[in-house]
Amino acid sequence: MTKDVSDEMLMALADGELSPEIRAQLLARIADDPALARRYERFTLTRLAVQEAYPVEPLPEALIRTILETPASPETPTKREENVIPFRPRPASRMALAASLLLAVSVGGFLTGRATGPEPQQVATGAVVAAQALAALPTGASVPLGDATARVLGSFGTDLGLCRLVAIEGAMEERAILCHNGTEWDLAFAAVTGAMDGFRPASDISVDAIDHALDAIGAGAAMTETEEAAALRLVR
Amino acid sequence: MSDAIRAQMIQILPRLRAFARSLAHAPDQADDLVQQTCEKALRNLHGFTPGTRLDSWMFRIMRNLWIDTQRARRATVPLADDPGDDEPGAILTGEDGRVTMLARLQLAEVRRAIAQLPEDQRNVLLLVCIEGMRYREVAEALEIPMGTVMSRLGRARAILARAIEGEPQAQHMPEKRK
Repeated sequence: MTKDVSDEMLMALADGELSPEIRAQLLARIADDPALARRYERFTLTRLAVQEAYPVEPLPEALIRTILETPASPETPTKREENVIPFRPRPASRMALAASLLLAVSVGGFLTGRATGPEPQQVATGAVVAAQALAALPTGASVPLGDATARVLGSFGTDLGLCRLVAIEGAMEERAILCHNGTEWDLAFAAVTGAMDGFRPASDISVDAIDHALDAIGAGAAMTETEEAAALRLVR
Repeated sequence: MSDAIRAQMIQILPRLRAFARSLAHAPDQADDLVQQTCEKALRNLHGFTPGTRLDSWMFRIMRNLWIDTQRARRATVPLADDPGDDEPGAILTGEDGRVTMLARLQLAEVRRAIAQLPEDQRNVLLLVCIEGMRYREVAEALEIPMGTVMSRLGRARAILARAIEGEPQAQHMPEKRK
């Protein structure tokens, strides 16, 4: 008798997802059937338990003020954002996109002709070496890379396949997105800034650029540890 | 367009807060994350495509902020140590006088179980159970199929139910079984 009511139905009922008619029918059956009632209770109880475990605090006024008072960006890119080479939003083909993705973002004058900055090629090589060194390691792990440290900040499933966001911190701070092309890691994106010279930290600036880059390659949410481990096994 | 977006942002604040709680467990830390996310979103408003979901876009910004600051900051701390270390005390405060259905000990088990859930299950669980979002809305906001929302929610619920019923967790914690 209870076998034909699925757990999904009971969960949907507890979460208010069902239409009034189906809701009424199911509740009537639950009232008549203790075994079904016990199964249903698991879903209502867990919903209440989450609500009790995470009581909602009153909305802080500071949040509203932030939203009302933070200056919005103009609708055309500001000067600072001109440093970021925009991705084409709707590329004709993903392969063309992949080819065009190799770019470096300069911040504070690096890479814009000053002799002090690294060559884009060096950035690319360093990041690819880092990705290879980190290939077997989960998010959060780091490896030494010359004078710097390379660390995985996240892995993403994207239109280009498995991509990883890597931080390289040394004299320079760098964020790179590397995607596995089936045989090796390709640099898809890099943002570089000076860490020691009073420039903004890369974490402040490149998050926006990284957002755009991830959007452009269709990245979803960062993978969980389990998803990441499975994805890494596939490319090894 | 910025005024309309600000109004919409205030409207979705509750779900931004619920999502933040699924990343940062302590309430004040979660609200800081919401605040940073709002600032970043407004300063980068040109990056938002009108007509698309504001919550999806802001969830993405929030998660990236969280990944980039938190994970990078504690990179030298072993990952196994992180879930909910400072969390039970932080959340237990201010709760006196509440009529609770669950005993305090059970509640502690529930918090621990939630903190140990995979992040993707916790996202869905909190958006549905705290914020009362519809499955379809959660699917759209997180850009995942509705079936995935339901399966993540079901798995999270099963783990929680075991925690409430006092069955031993898969990861045993010797110091709790005194």
